[in-house]
This record gives sequence, C-alpha cells and structure tokens, in this order.
Amino acid sequence: MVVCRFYQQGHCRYGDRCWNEHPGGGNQAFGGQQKHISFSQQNKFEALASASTGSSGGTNVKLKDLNPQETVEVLCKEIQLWEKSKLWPFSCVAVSKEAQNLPGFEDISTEELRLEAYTAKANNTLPAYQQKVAQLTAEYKAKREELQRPSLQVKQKLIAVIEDIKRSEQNVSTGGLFGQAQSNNTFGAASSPLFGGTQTTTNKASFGQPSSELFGQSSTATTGTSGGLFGTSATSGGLFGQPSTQNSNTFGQTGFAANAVQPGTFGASSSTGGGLFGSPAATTAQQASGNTGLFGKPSTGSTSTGLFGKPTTTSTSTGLFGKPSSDTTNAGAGLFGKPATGSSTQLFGKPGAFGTPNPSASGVFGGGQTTASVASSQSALPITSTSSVTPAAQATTAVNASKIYTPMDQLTSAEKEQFESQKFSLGNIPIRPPANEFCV
Amino acid sequence: MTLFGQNTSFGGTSSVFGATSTAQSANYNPMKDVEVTSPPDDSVSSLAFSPASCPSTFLVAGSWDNNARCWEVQANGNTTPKAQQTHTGPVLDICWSDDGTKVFTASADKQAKMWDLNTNQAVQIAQHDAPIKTIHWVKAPNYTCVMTGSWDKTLKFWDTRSPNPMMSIDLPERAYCADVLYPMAVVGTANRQLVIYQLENQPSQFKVIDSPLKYQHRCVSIFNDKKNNSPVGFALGSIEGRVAIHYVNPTNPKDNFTFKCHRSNGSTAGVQDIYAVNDIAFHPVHGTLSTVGSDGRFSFWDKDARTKLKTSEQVDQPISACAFNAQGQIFAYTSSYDWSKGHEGFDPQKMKPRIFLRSCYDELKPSKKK
Repeated sequence: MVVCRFYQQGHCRYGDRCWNEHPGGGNQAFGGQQKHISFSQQNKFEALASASTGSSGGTNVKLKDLNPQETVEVLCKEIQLWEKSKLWPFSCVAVSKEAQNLPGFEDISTEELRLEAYTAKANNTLPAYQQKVAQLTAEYKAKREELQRPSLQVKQKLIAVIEDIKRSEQNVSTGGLFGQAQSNNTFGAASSPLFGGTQTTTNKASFGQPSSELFGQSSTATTGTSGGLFGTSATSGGLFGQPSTQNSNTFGQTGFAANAVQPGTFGASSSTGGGLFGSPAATTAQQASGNTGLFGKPSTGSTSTGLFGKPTTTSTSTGLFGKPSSDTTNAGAGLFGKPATGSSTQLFGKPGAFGTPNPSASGVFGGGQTTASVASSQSALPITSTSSVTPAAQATTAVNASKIYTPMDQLTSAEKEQFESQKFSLGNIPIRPPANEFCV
Repeated sequence: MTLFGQNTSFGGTSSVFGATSTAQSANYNPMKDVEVTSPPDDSVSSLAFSPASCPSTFLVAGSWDNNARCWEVQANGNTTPKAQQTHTGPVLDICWSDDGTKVFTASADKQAKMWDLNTNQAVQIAQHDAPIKTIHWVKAPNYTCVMTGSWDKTLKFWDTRSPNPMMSIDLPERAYCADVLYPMAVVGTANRQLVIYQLENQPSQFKVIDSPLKYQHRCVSIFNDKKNNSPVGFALGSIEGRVAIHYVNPTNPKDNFTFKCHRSNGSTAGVQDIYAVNDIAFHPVHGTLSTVGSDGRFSFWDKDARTKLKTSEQVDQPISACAFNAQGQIFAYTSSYDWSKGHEGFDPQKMKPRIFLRSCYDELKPSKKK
C-alpha cells in the first residue's frame, strides 16, 4: 500500500480511516509493504545530534537505500517505539523484516513467563520469580535504552552489525549460487553467537580490563561479526557483552550447536564463495575449528601484538592501515596500546580488514594468501601486489579492497576526527576502517 | 518499578483492567454475543470446533486451569457443558481428529493426551522434554498422526499407539506456534524462526523462511488458494500488532505483505499502544480471516482485497484465542488474561474468563471492492 501523500504533508482528513499508509500514525488499514520500516515520526533524536544525515521522518524507508548511519537512526526510532507503545518487552527484534535478529535480545513468550509464575506459585517461590522478572525487565530495558541513545562506540558497533546484515542479505539476493544453502545458514546461525560465554571470559582474563560499559566486551561479538556471512548471528552474544545468566544460557551453547549442525553449508559456501566471501569465511572457519588463535594466549595479551595474536596479523594490519604502519608494529602501545584493549578488538569487526590473516585457510580462501603476502611486503596498499597472484585471488582482493576502506561519506564526523588526529583518543577509537583518503 | 509498561491498565485512554467492577461488567460483552456456559476457571489458551464430519457441533477449550472442556453448541447458540479432562499442568493447545471422535490436548506438563469423547477416557500419547506448545492432527492418505511442537525445540509425530514418536525433527528454537493443513505444516519459533514442512508420504522439512515480521512470533494460520483449494501460504501474527500474509511460493513478490492491527487509536499523542496478535483463524468458506489481540478486540479482514471488514468494540480483557466452526457460521472468541502485562496485570479475582459465540457468516463475506 502507498504512503498517504496528504498524511506526509500533515493534513490527511481521513485520519485513522485513511486507506493509505500513515507511517507511525494511527490508522489500522493494511499497511507496510515489504522492507518498509515504519516508525513514529514524532520522535526527535536529541541523542543523535552528531548524526549528520537525518532520515526523513514520516516516510517508509527501504533498508537497502539507507546508509548504515541512517539505518542506525531508524533502528533507534524503532526501539523507542517499542518502549513507548508498551509492546511485550521480552522479544527479539530485527532492523527490518527478513533481516537477522539484533544481537542481545532473546524471545521469551508470555506463556513461558506465565508458566514460570504458576510453577513458582506452586512451589511457594513467587518472590524469586518476581525478582527474576524484575531483573529481566531491567536488563532488556537497559539494552533498549542503550540502543535508543547509543554511545559512539555502540553506534559504531551497530553500524558494523548492520553492514554485515545488509551484506549477507545482498549475498542472498545476488547469490543464486548458494541458494538454499545460504538461507539455511542464516537460519541456523541466526541470533546465536559462535562463541559463548567462554570466549568472553578468556578475553577478560587476557586483557584484564573490565568492560567500560554495558556493551563493553564486544570483542567476542565483533570477532564473530567478521564472519560476514555467518557473522551477524555471531554478534549476538556480543553487542551486549556481559549477558546475564539468562542470556548466556540461551546463547553460547546453542550457537555452537547451530553451527555444528551445518557443517555442509559452511564448507559449501566457503569453497564456492572463495571469490566473494573468501576472507570472512576464512576467519570464521578458523575460529569455528576451535583454534585458540586470535585471543588464545593470555600471555600475549599485554601489548598490541597480543590483540592480534600473531605477528603476521599485526603486519597485516599495518599493511591495511598504510601510513601508521611503522608506528603500530614498533610502538604498538601508541596506536593500539592500552586504550585499544576495548576497541581495537573491534577492529576485527571489519571482515575485509582483518578477516584474512589466516594462512591455514589457504587453498580455499585465496584471499587469505593474497593479503598475507601483501602484508609481509609491508606495502601500504594491499592491492598493489595482487597482480602477481592468481586471478581468483585477484578477484578476492578486489572485493576485499572495497571492504577495507569505509567510504568517506559513511564515516561519522567523530570518526573522521579520530582518523585525522595523530593519535586516537581513548574511548573514541573508530572500529571501522578509515576511508581510503586517510591512507595515502 | 514498572514491570510491563507504564501502568497496569491498558493504554491511557481506556482502562481495561478498570478499578471498578461496575465498569467491568458494563463492557465485558460489548458485542452482545452469546456467552458459553460454565467457562473455564482460568485463561483460555485455545479453542477448537468439531470438524464437519460431526453430526452436531462441539466446542473444546484448553485452559490454564489444567483442564480441557467440551460443550455442545446448538444452532441458536445455546451451549451445554459435556465433559472435561484434566492434565497436571496448563493446557496450551487443543485439536480434533478429522472424524470428530477424539480431541488431543497439549500441556505444560510435557504430555499430550488423546481424549476419546465416546468413552470420555484420556490416554497419554506423547511425551516431550519440555512443555508442549502446539498440537495438530495430521491426516494423510497413507498415514495419520499427531504433530506436537515443544519448547524442547523438537517437532514430533505420534501414531497415538506407540510410546515412541514416528518421527522427531529438530527445530531451530522453541516452538511458539504452528498450523497444519495437509499437505503443509508451518512452525513459528522463538527468535523469529519459521519453518515449512511438507507432509506427503512422510513429514519432511520443506523450506526455511526469513521472518516477514520484526518481533516475536505469536500465532500462525495456513490458508488455501481460492481456486484449487490447496494450502499456499500462511498468516503470521507477532507481538507487534502486525500480521504478515505470506505465500510460500509467491507468483509475484508483492503478493506478500504485512498489515498493522490491534493498536490503539491514540495517534494524536504521537504514540500508539501496540498489542500482541494472540490468534488468527481463517474462515472455512470465505477464506477471509479473523485476528484477536491483547487489546481486547477482534477484527475481520479480507487479505485479497487487503481491507478490514470489521473491528469489534473493546472487551474488558485481552482476547486470547478464537475459532470458526466448520460451516463458518459461528465465530468463537475468548476474553481472558494473556499475561501480556505480566503477573502485575493479573487479577484472578476480577478476571473471569469468558467464551463468546457470534454469528459471523455474513460479516466475513469478502469485500466487493478490489
């Protein structure tokens, strides 16, 4: 159904009885075509003042037409609406229909809660039940509030998640190759992280730095995110790093199970996808195989090298980031040092940037090799050495290159500021790669 | 501390869980429908009418008071309680066998029972590791069975004589809602998962569908193609006052759409109250559908014309379930608390579950305008 023209102009005389869509308005007529996200247009966003591009208030929005920043805004509105319209609080939520669930929200149905209440009553443990519900309520509310007024970090992470979601959606649409397998995949992995609570703990141990805020321990999540295809799901645990007991229960194990069930899919998409999705798949594969690699050894956790596990990895990162490279390798503390503990792990969020340093993934994942070799040659731009590699690998790298940089217009002003300055300032370190322009 | 929304009463405009009992009695039956006698003592989880093969019409209801009840319904709407059976936990779903001699009940006590109405005996036919949320009768040319979906993340098929399932299929998540219309079955689960099964020869997974809705799945109902009378799609309802009409193999992508429902009209304040869609039923003759919601209203819709046919007045409690009888003459709906405002919104002293019957054949005729 069409959006009402008059409503948009602010004077539809049919009001709630109008046949056309009043996005966010009160009409109950059939509405909402596919991909449309409706939200209340009344909500102004003081919190997002830094956001430059405001999506137009009252119109329906197509997810694919939005840049991530706008998508985050749409999401914020969605979450505000959720809160204000008194929806059932314990639900999963997605940015748009057919998209994957946002990490951190698990479904609990009215019946499940009710049954617990009845059981509690029978066992005379009603106070415990009430306490649990209160705790759950507070927890979900806190998450929603965090999303309504996202801090810079949260926003960046969200953008990373959304980009991954969009990418996987695009993959599906362009796919054909993967067809059924792919949808299976999204399905199987959806909303369950690759790595449960364990990994989070490991992180904590090695870095010893408590998460700064609710979303602090994103490292786990973002690592998962690099999966790209599989990733978004993996993020689940992570956006809200420190899940309550309830959450970690539901998360964790399921995630593993879900993925384990789909080994075929995994294999298939990585081999076929070598060209397109090569690098993200590589990362995931490595992690899924239980390799402790990235965050494995607490001992290395002290400096920046620790963050990226192996020296090679570090060199990769230098390669990608071009100019600041020497700084990074030598005096890692400067760039990715202590302040980075929280956020440099987030760098893994970008599949393109760090997805590749995995030699074990060679063969299938041509891209892995390519970038690795580039990295070791210390050239500023990974693309330069590509020509010498196989055509397949070349394709991969080309795709990678597009992922390596964030287009200038998609960076937030805060991110630009960070990239322009000599040093990142604590708490504001961008998790997305810089724009190409910053790396020349 | 606010647990479920700002206050325990619905919305700002009208207090459904009003403080005064006089206000309540005034609008417990605003549609002036026929009330079923001897309703359950606690909320009604599901309603089902006897199939067309039955010589007379019966209505069964599963309830949170652990009982399943059966009434005989006369043409004038008079009801006579006939029998009841008890589980050791709340009854979460109920269905009939195709010949109308048996009723199947799914319970939070992790069991499903087969209730023989002729002998009024009930025997256990299924066992899960967690409460059973959905139960459906499957009638195929070469087999018959009962399909149960549970929070233990399995879908099981039982031939009613063996203690072991004929088949068990893993679900991606806890089963929240399901429907069967041979040869199609659909299961909606927690965390927005949706799986289609085909039942020919033997049940098997047919397709995984990306959810067309953004929030928690709540109810699902399969519909037939108008022309060849075979199942082609389903309507899926969520907690976000929204229903998706989804064709499994849409000829045109635009065939699939969602529509909003069960929302307050308080658009002047800028924010609506949005309620869960608790149940969806398709009219057996017209192919139009009804939705019922936590807002205490039922609505009738024509999905092909994409129009609303009717919305009811607001009942004093959420409407938790609905059903059409086999001939499409009677619409049954039940007003009973659905836990949508948590334990704080629950007042068993004041909230008396009620079941209403409405003559509906004409109201559900498809819209003429296209």
